[in-house]
Amino acid sequence: MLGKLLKYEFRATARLFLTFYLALIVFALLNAFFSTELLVKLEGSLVHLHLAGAPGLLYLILRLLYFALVVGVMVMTLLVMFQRFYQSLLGDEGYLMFTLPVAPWQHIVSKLLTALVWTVASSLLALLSVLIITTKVDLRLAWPGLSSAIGALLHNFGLAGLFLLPAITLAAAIAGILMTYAAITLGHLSTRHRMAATIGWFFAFQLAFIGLIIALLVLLLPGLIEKYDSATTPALFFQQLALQFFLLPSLALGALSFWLTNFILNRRLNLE
Amino acid sequence: MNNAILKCENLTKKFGPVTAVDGVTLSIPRGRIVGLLGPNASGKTTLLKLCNRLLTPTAGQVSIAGHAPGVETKKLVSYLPEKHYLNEWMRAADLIEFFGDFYPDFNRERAYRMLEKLALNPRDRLKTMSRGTKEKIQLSLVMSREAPLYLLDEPIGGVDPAARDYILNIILENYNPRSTILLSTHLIADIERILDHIIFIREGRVVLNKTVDEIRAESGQSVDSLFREVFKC
Repeated sequence: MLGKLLKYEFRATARLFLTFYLALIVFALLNAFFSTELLVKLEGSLVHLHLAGAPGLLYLILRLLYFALVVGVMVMTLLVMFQRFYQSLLGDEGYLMFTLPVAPWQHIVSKLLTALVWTVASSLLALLSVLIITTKVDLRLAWPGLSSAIGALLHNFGLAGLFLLPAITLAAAIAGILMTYAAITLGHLSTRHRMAATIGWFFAFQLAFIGLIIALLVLLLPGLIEKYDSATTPALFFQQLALQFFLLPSLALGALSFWLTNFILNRRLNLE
Repeated sequence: MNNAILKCENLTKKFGPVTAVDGVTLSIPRGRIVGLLGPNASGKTTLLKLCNRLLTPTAGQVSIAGHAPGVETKKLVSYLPEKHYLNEWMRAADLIEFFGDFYPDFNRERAYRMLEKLALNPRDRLKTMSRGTKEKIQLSLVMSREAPLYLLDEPIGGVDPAARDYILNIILENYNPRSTILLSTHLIADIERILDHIIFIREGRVVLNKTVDEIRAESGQSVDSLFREVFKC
């Protein structure tokens, strides 16, 4: 059943995302070509005339549109993930979703996985569009920069650290999405001022997350520093930090949020 | 009654200070067409939503074929809500696919046959259709399941009299004598001819629960005139 839910969730969202991604790539290509043209002209003698004239204006407009699109894709990714959760489970569509022979946890997981895939895709597409512009479409040019960045990460954080970074980012994203789902579901329990209640719960979760990290730092950091001796490499120290102070709180609050959301959808659902 | 497909025991739902369903105890056997009749705001929709667990009861219990509402009971219940709950971006054919994917008892052929009768193109998107058409599609999907229990909330509420006949025919044509249909309405005269059993509900309470034959024999009245008498303002 989870597979079927995922299929329909992707179908419901794909058209919007793919249209935005296509526009993003088209505008990145346009920006790459137009800036190339501008660079060629920079070597000539009539630079200022071109910049002030129509090509300069076009270049500026294209750049602005591109930036607007990057911001638009990010905002849309966030909005759609929460709007899908609210509308399809707690809005009118919930009448259909909650009469399907599917357990509530499967609904939560299907929304979460879809949201994660689109978040990763939107981030990668934004990065790709930047690379298209900076390398003037010759993506091979990006490799030296990327490999030196990876080298620096490897040097500073170690091989385990290199894997820890994406793991932390992913865990933080999962926790963030689940905390917002829990805030929406808890907010929906209020009979009045649902929006205000949702926003209140959202900030309560964020505060709890930060509070947990601070509490862990206060409790555990002295011990970690004490153990820091000549045998501890900075890479190892970072790995400990990442694991204890970011990965674990993300997992803990993510799990709590999931449990709460599932409990309410199972035992306290009220679609009015 | 072991044969009961739907049982409610002391079922109560409060919304703040308002009691929408008040201590309802019912047992509905298999193989009946039951009318849940009452004026507006009498608790009909709330009762059907409680049976589907779209609302959590304040007190009391619901059981469907002996099970508390959950994944298992959702396989048994085909529910038509009073709301429009389908995805606007989908085509009628997508919806048939969707229902077929999730409900093992969904009969695709029957659904396509109904669309054909409605002269609807399965490739049309929902957002291009009128409200009445969407309601007919919704009902066609719900009646294309071969479920032991149908819960239909105001299936004829929003459509014109000609469409009412069409809908009642759909219900009768697709009705399996082993199944039970519980349908709510306040338009009694239109629906009386298909009902076996009547439940009157007022202010969240069951005020009458009898077969149509019993009503006719005891009061000598039609259900419609009895309704007017019971719910006189």
